[in-house]
Amino acid sequence: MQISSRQYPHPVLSYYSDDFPNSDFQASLKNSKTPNTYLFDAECVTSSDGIHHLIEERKAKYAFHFECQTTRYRRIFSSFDSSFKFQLPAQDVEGRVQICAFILAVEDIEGYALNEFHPDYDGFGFQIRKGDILALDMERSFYAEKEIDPLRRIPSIFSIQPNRSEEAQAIEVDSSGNKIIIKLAPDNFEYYKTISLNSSLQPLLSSLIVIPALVSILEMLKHEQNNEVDYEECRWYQVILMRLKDFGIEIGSQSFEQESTISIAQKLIGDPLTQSFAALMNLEDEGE
Amino acid sequence: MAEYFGTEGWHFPSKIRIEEIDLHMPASSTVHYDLENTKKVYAALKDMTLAQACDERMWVYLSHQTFWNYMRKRWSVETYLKKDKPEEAIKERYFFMSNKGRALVRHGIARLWWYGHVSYDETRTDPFELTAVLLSKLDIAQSLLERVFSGNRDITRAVLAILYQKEKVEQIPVTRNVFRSLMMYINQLGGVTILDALDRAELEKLIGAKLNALLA
Repeated sequence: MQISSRQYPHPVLSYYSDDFPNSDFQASLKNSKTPNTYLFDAECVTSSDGIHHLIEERKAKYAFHFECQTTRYRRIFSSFDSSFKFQLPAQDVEGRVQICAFILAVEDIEGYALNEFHPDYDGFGFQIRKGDILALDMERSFYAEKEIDPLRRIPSIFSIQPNRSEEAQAIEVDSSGNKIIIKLAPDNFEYYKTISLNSSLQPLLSSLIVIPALVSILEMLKHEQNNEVDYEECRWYQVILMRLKDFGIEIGSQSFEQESTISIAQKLIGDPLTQSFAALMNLEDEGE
Repeated sequence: MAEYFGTEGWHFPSKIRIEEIDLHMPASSTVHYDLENTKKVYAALKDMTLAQACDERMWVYLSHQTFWNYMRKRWSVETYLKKDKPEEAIKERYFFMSNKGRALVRHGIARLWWYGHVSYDETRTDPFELTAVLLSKLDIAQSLLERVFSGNRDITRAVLAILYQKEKVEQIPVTRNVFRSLMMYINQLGGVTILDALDRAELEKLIGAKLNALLA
């Protein structure tokens, strides 16, 4: 659920409107993970005495709404207590999970009017239905990882495959799935298969195949050329994001914009260029 | 497959165990047996987790291997060749399209499981009674399943229970336009009211009242 700056048919305490000019609502969520479960510790606080009173009377409650686009999971976790814990089965979510924090009406309320409303609402009462949003905090998300690739094995977010299309180019890149698929023309794929059997030549393959693909992906992220696919849902994107963080780089930041994509790609893969030169020098030595 | 991949491996054993499923072959371009096949696929794979049920690899394997003959008949590639972008149509039915939410209800086999998942109601004598409503008209499954609220089974089953009551019990037809208006209403309502905070009885009351108003 994405909560933009919506208009409601009744005053809602939010971070973006002045329906409650001197009140706020803040919700924090800490999560930890066991192999099968995500555990959450929720803390909610509101400075609106009127809403607080409704919660004490059990006419409103704190709630966190979870939604996972990948698995179509939707669920609400709620409590009358400002601190509460809940669990989410790990098998129900994958990829980005959106979380919204609310205070919701637990029953229909006739003539909803609070002292904290903006003075413009003086003298007005509103009809509230069970489930209506009374207050909301900023939405947030977390990334549910499934056997995420260890960071040091970043090439494992790549899959190298033969391209059997009649119009196959020497190399093509498809980034619409969980892995970045590098498609090689059939002859090139055969060369790749043969060379990959020699482990000392791996850096060369990285330089020839993985680096150009990664540069192309990084350029795409830099210029956001393709908006049709939501990359945040792709595992490769999350892995690159985390690996970039290790180098103090965030996508969209000045350092990402200023540094060349080829030097970023070299860092991400672990400098295959230098290793390739070393491998070639060794070959030369062996030939002598 | 063997011809295409040669000696390369393209599949691996999964931990999901199922009994053999014998899908009904479509009899013609209009008789597809989607309901019968939904019952078979969902009954056999009912205990899958959501994470397993959204895994493209499993569905692609099933569509290319286990149910290949069914797929060739139900989603004949030859008919796509006349379309503007045949590769898109093939990707949609035999693989997963980019929009993951939609991909699950477009893939030739995954859609059957998801039809069952959103409509199976163990409290009914026939747990697939609402599945029959879901698949009774072309429009219902698509306009219901492609809405974000359809991730909540209580909402989808409340909609289908109300439709069942209206059409099967009260014998009052619900037109495509009325159904679409009802879907729009639920979408709009979800902007103000968190529908996931309501139980099934409350949802049915709300949706039933709106449907009555639309039919009045």
